[in-house]
Formats: sequence, structure tokens, C-alpha cells
Amino acid sequence: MSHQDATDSQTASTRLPAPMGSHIDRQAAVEICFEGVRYQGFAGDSIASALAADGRYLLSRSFKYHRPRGPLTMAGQDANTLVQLPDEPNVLADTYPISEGLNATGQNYNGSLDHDRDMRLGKFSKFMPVGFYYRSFYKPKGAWKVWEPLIRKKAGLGRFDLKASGDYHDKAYLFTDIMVVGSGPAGLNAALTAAEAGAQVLLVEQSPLLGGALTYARFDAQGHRASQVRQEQVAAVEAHPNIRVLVDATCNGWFTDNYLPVIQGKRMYKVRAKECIVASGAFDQPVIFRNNDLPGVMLASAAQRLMRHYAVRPGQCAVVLTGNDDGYFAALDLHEQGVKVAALVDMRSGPTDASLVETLKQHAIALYHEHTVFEALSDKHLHRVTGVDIRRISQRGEVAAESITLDCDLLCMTAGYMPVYQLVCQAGGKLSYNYAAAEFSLSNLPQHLYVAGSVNGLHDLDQVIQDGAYAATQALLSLGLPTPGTAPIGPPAKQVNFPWPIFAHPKGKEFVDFDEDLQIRDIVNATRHGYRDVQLVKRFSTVGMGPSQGRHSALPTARLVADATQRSVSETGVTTARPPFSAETLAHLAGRSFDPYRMTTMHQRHVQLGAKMMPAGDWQRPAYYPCADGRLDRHQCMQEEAQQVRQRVGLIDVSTLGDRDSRA
Amino acid sequence: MKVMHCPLNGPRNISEFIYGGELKPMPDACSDREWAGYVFYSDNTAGVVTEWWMHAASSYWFLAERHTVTDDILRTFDPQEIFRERVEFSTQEADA
Repeated sequence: MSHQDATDSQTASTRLPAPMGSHIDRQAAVEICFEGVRYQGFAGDSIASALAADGRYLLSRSFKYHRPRGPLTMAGQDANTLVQLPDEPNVLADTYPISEGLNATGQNYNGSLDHDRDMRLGKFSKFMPVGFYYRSFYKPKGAWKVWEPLIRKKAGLGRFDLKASGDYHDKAYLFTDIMVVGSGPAGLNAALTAAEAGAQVLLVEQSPLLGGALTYARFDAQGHRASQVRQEQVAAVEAHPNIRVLVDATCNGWFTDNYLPVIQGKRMYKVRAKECIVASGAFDQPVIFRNNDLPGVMLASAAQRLMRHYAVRPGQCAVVLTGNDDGYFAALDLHEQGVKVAALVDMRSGPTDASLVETLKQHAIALYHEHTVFEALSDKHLHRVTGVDIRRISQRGEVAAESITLDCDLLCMTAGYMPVYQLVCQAGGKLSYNYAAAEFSLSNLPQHLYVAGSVNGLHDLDQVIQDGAYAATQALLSLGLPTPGTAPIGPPAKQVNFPWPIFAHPKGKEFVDFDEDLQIRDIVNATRHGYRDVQLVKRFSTVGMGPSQGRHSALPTARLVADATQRSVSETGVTTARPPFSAETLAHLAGRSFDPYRMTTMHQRHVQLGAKMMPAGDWQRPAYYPCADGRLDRHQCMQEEAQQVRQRVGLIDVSTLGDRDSRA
Repeated sequence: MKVMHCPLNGPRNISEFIYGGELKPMPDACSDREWAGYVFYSDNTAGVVTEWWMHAASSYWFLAERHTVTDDILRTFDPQEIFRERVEFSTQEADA
């Protein structure tokens, strides 16, 4: 008991005070087990946040080199947090909610998660270049047959419990005027505008709370704006009779004429929407430098999510590496929550909003402009980032020789954003690269589909909110409903992408794709082998093939391939996005569906006379008429009926056996 | 999944419909070769074509104008718009 008490108090004291921790219920302690060690969390915690609260960041081993990995996005968008549950492999620890007694273990290690004997594979990475398997094991003839089982053994992820009993899954059907995907500031305002005009709206949100970026990001130096906007909008949305909200629900694909599968728990909704507004947001993008995969190196938004959603302090001493003003806001968030911010490293020559420099100076945060992190440092086990090597950027992708070393246990990075384009591209949307903004933008949308907010290239909060109203107006026009007459939004007010956040290191290990352990040279070498098309680069190098499906690797891959093949980034493009957007189980697809239940015109009469009905194909037909006094059983009743028909007369309704058209 | 507007039942999923081929004039008292041509060959036009479709759940046959390149269904309508009177086919056997 005393041990548990000690753990309780320790956990309670390490959590940040409210209003941090919007997802957790501090009154409900929940104990879980990871790798045989007990951890105390709260109801509402994800596995990763409960572990992070206790300082555990190493959650998994990478696919190829077995490098230690920890949370990267805290949003279920990366493969770093895949863990094993007793009856389910490859569970995303950063979104999977904990429950009492949950027992999780790491995956893909030989020995223990903390000391994986297969990590030496990383040492041989020079001798395992991209396409190594394809090029090395096919000679002599038949060699692949010998090598394949050995390689497969090293390559699989997770264990599947063949004795696991299947759960009940089902399907449901919904019809709506307008479906809004994503409940960030754009989605909330789109839903409200449409509902106000009289449309029936279905609002689908992937996380448990409405608000999107408003729940974790910061939009001003004072830090009040996000919660203000969120409170107003969410209250209005929840009170509106025309809006139905689905939280913890993912729209997993777009099919012709807005046929939209939405997965919520063990149910798949098949939604048919007359109009669809995609306000899916944008993915925060990593900076590519040596050891950018160490536990403790995460996206700035991930650190913000840890604090605001789970009240977890993501480290003691942080360095923030940024290519936009949002990094400054993240630094302010960290500072406010008691994390020492050792430095803010801006790859640009300064923030767009010059007053941010002064704000940071007031908090004694050291600023480095036109600098980058060249390498993240750690002990030899690579268990956690321990410091950074900061260099001045001399020219695109290159750094000066002088280095500044700082200690830290948290490195937050944000190089810009990539629109969450998957659903829109499944619908035929085209991505083109805008060099001025260093960002992909969407065009060529089909009818009855609209984008709003940061997926539409807008990042200024006011513009995002207005864009939601504009998309709703377009949808309302198409429905023939009265519109508030919102004007289209002007050019983006905020630049968020740094054009070349890619810094090659002579010793490599600058990861472009975390899922597949691909470094800068792997991508460049694929183009040198003659694979110039990004689709071929993908198939040769496996970039973007992992569980995160290129959410963080598509943008740098497009830039690297364009650069190596002297083409534009638009020409290079990204690989085709296909459904599903996120992992879906076979149970979701196989779950119970509905069969027609057909009744003859005589059905009610049969029932009134006490007939016992049975299905015959789609039709309901009488199985037998029970005798009045209940003296005979089912079989005897049927026998008696047969006797009656043979000796006297019977009546049968065969109208179910054929179709008849009556015409006047 | 695509939606088709059935003139009888309104908008329904395309999986409820069965394709019945292009609308062509049915030859009367023709050779086997001509009949085979009618049954088995299609013009395969790239553009707007008129086709037979059936809503399977209600066994209702109707006509649809569809663009075969974009797969846009431009119009669906009851066959009575075209077939206003009963067609009597000759009863004699065609030449072998």
C-alpha cells in the first residue's frame, strides 16, 4: 500500500495544475502496466501520456534499426508509439485510452525494450543501403527462398493472438445535408453557419474533445484567444438542434457522391452527405537533422498536447526549433508551465510578428536566428535526448562549422505544415506546390466538396474562422438554402513553412521517414538508381509505406526528389492517397450489416391469428399455427397441418415467389 | 458509392441498379448475324449515351443519359417518354 501511496502523490505532483489536462479526470486514478512495470494514470489518459507523466518516453523500437522511439505527434499520426496489448498488436499508445489493469508491452525488440540486442543492426546501416533486400538476396537463383524466412522474422511487427475472441462490431447508416470533417476553428464555424441557415449538419471529430487546434495550440502572446474562441463556438455547436456531433470518430475515406465511412468505436457509420466540408487541418512537420528521432524530440504540437490535454510536463529543460511563429508560442507555453526553455532556435532571420522577440526576451529565453539544430545528442543507448548541437545556417541545407552545445531533455520542432489532404485527394483533388509559401495547396475539388481552414492553406486564426463560414456558404448555395453571403478569404495572412528544413549530416541518421528508418541519403540514392518518379521512389525505398502513410515524410520526400532530379516540387508531387485514412480493422468491414426484412400483405393477419413467423430468404412467412390450447408442440402442429392439407384443404400464400406488375 | 436517381424510387445507391446496355432500335425479322450484332455489340461511344438501367429492388426498368467519359449521369427518365405505343413484332421465323 505504502508503495502505491507514494506513486499516487508522485504522479499527482508531477501533473500540471488546471486548466492544463482537459482530457483527464484527476479524481479517477487508473493503474496500468507497461513492460511489467506499474504506472499510475488518470481516466482520460492515453497509454503514452500516462507513461510520459512518469518520465517514460521510450515506447517502441524502430522497424529497421531498432532505434528507441517515443511520442512524436501525440495525435495518433506516427508509428513511434505502436505497442502490443494482450489481444491486439500495433496499438497507438498516444491515442489509446487507458483502463484499469491494462497491460501493454513494447514491440519489435530482441531482449528488452530498453536494451535491444538488434540495435546493432543500426551499426551496419552503411552496408544496408536503400533497396538492400531487393538487390542483395536474389542471387544465386533460389537464394531468396533461404533468406526470406529469416528476414521476415526480423521484419514483422507485433504478435497476433489467434485465440482472441472477436468482439461485436456493427454498421449504421446516416443521411445528412452537410457533413463537416474536423472540429477545429474552421469546422466549428462551418457547422454553425450551415446549421443557422437551416441545414442538418453532422460534425465528425477524431479526438474526444471538440476544438481541434484550439484545444492545444496557442494563437497569441497572451494565450487567451484559443480558449475564448473554443468556449464560445463549442457551446453554440453543442446547443444547436441542427447539429449532430460525433466525437472519437474518424472519417476514413471519401467515396463517390460523398459516401463517407465514419468509424466510431466498434461501429462503422456509412454516411451519405449532400455536401461535405473537409476542415481536416494540417499536420505539423518535423525538421530533418541527425538523431531527430530520439525519444524527447517531438513536434511542438505534441508537447502542447501533452500539457493542455494531459497536464504532463514534457521535460525539464527544452530547446524549441522552429520555422514559423508558432514555435515562439510553443516556447511561451513551455515557459509558463515551468519548463526551462534553454533556447529558441529560429531557422528564419526572425519572427513575422517582431514583438515576439521582445516577449521572449522578457522571459529570458535565448534566441538564435538563422540557426538550426544540426544534431540531437544523447547517451550511447539513445534512450533520451540530452542536448543539441546548434549551428548557423550558411546556405540552403548547410551549416557553419562553429557549434554551440546546449543541454536539454526536450526538443520541440516545427518546420511548417502539410495540409491533411488525404480525403480531398481521394476525391480527385490535386496538390500543387506554392514556392512562395513553401506549401502544398489543394485544387480541382469535385462538386459538393469544400475545404476550409488550414487544409486550405490558411493559418491566421481569424482567416481560418472566416473560411469555415465561406465553405458553409458555398454548401448552402448548392443546397438552395439562404446564405449569410460571406465573401471569399483574401491571400493567406500568415507564412508558416520554412522552405528547406533539411540538414544532411556526414554521419547520417537524419530521418525523413520514421516508420521505415529512411535517411536523407536513402531518398537521394533511390533517385540515383534511376527511380525519378516519386511513386517509384516510394516502392524502391518504402518511403511513406509505413503506418503513418507519409504524414511527415511526403513533404520532405517531394522536396528531396525534386531537388535531386532538377524538377519542380509540383511536378514531383506526392504518392497517391487511398482509403483508409487511418488503420481500420477487418472487424469494422465485416461487422454485422443489415438484411431486408420483407413482409407480405397478409403478414399482420398471420400475426393476429397467432402464427409463429420464420425468415424465408428476405421474407417473413408463417412457420406454423400453434394449436389453441398449447397441447401440441411445433413439430406436431406442422404434422397436423400436413394431414389437414392431404385429407381436406389448405391455403398457401405464394406471392413471395414471384413479382407481378399491375398496370392501369 | 455513386448515387443514381431512379425515376420511380428517387436517389438510391448504384449497387441497387443493374445495367441493361445501350438503347438501340430492336431489329424486327432480321438475320441471325444482325440479331447477334444487336445483342452482343455496342457502339462504346465516348460521350453521352442513353442506356437501359433497372432498379433491382423494384424490378423497374428505365432509361438514363450518361457521359461515358466522366461517368456523370445527366438524366434518368421513364421509358414511356420514348415508347408511347405497343410495338408488334412480326411472328414469322427469320431466315436461317
